[in-house]
Amino acid sequence: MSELIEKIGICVERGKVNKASPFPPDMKGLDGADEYTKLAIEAKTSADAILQACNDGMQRVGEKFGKNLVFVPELLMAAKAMHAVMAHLKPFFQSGTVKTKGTFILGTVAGDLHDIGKNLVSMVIEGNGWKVIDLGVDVKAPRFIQKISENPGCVVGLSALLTTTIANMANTIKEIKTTSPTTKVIVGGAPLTAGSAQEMGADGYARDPQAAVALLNSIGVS
Amino acid sequence: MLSLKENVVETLKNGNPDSFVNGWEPFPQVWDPVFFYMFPVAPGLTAVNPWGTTIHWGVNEPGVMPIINEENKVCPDITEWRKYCKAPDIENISLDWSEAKSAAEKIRAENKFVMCWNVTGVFESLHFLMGFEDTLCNFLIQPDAMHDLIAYITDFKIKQIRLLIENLSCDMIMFHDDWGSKYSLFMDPDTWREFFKEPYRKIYGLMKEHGVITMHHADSYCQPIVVDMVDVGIDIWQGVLPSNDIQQIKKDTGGKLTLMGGIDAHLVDCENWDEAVVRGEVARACREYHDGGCFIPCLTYGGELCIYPGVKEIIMDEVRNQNQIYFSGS
Ligand code: B1M
Repeated sequence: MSELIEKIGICVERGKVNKASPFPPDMKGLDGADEYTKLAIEAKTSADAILQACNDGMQRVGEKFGKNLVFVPELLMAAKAMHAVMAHLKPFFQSGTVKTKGTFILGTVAGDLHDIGKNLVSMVIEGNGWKVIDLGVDVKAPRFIQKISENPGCVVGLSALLTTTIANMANTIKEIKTTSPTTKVIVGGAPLTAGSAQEMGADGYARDPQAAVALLNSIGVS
Repeated sequence: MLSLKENVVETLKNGNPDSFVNGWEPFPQVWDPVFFYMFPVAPGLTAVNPWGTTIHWGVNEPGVMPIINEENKVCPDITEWRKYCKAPDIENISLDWSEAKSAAEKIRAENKFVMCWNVTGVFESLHFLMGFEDTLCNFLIQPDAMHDLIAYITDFKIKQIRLLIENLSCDMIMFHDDWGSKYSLFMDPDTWREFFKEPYRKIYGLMKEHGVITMHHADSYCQPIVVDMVDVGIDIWQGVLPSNDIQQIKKDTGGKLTLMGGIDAHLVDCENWDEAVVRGEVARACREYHDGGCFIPCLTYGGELCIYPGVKEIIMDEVRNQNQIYFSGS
């Protein structure tokens, strides 16, 4: 059983989605995250243990990404493998057998349509065991506020890539903090620095998805 | 005193320039009819380009964005790309070159280089057809089909470049292809080499055959592939972000690659820009990157405009000030 768990973690880390997937080449023709998760569930492995293996796999690939040892394609494949695992775990989430660490509401701020970085953050955080509500791009403050009210205790993540939308990010934080002062907001995106994030009133800045995970886990759920 | 053109040539060969090349000053851009054909948009408009990609230019936004989703992506299945991807027949459409030709003549009369712009690059063309995530994943899961599609796109780019050279006899071409983010390439350097090195050798090889100075725009972290960039024939890497180790790149490329950029756009081109900060950042860039030559101080954008009015003028003025420090006799 522990062997299956280990294999699930490896498949997530390496981005091996299922048997049919030709990637990675050295695992061609072998079972992938999909098949191993099915087997693990049939062998009555606890959903928590499967989820943990998946989280560990995402954690490892996220760390490698932060060190430029793997790149966006490999991270995307890992996320696909993670989703293959999650599809099997859905009934356990629905029944409450397994719990997420909390809810993370994420979006690219108003006026900004860049989403590659945000999507990676979303995948890695989901892989770390959080429920992620991705509001997409060009998200205006009222939409964040509405979602916050529907998800008490959530943490919010804002992404921006344009200098012109940094002001929208600052305004969004201000509006969130006005209506919901206890909600924690973290930010990221190439134009930002820890200093600028602090100036605009964010509770934290993350340079990459792995740093966002660390930040989120340290902030926790209010 | 060298002319603007001579000064560029001296900078490119790491010889004896007598001042910094000041951004885009010696090579103004000519807008050509192929560009307008490929990007039929203006602020506030959405359109479908000749490849079938939906593009949008938001009001108050600095440029064009492809809008790609599951419903409208041109190439939903890379294995069937021949069915979905049809290159525009630019050699057989009627294009009016007269305005571009007279703009080019005017530039020549001012004794400056005529520069044409070529967007989108090979990688960018791929993500315009299928979106970013499919593009990146397909390198890993459908490499053969990706190689074939890249060859098809490269042929199209070659035709586009031939038209520019034939009609405008341009001296320089800036080819636009962003290969990475601020701190990393989008893909493993070996993946880049596998898919892009040879196509780019063809593209830049053609320009070189016609004596065109080659400029590649990528405002990205490209440090791991700089030697390859020289190999494929790039003279100027425009857009070099300060997150690259610029001095190390000069050592690695041994005076064969001129680096244009180095000024942090996020610091200087912002809503509440401050003249002292702008001047300070230009001075920093000149101080840190002047040694070893091969450096053109410039913002990292792939064009001469700034987002916020006034910033460009201050940058250019400060570069002139910096000449007094680094070039005796300026
Ligand atoms: C909540 O917590 C967190 C924590 C961490 C977070 C986070 C949130 N969000 C991000 N992170 C962090 O984690 C991620 C993973 O490590 C990282 O995310 P990044 O997004 O930084 O990294 C991604 C993995 C990859 N990086 C990217 O995706 C951005 C790369 C560059 C090249 C870029 C791309 C690819 C694109 N662009 Co655009 N684009 C540029 C970029 C230049 C550059 N070198 O960065 C930039 C950002 N773009 C720019 C511009 C101007 C534009 N772009 C536009 C369009 C596009 C494309 C469609 C071509 C494409 C985006 C495709 C897409 N679906 O997102 C237009 C935007 C329209 C709009 N309203 O948004 C357009 C206006 C048009 C144009 N091309 O000039 C420039 C901004 C200039 C400025 N000063 O503001 C730019 C710097 C390029 C340039 N110099 O011209 C971290 O920042």
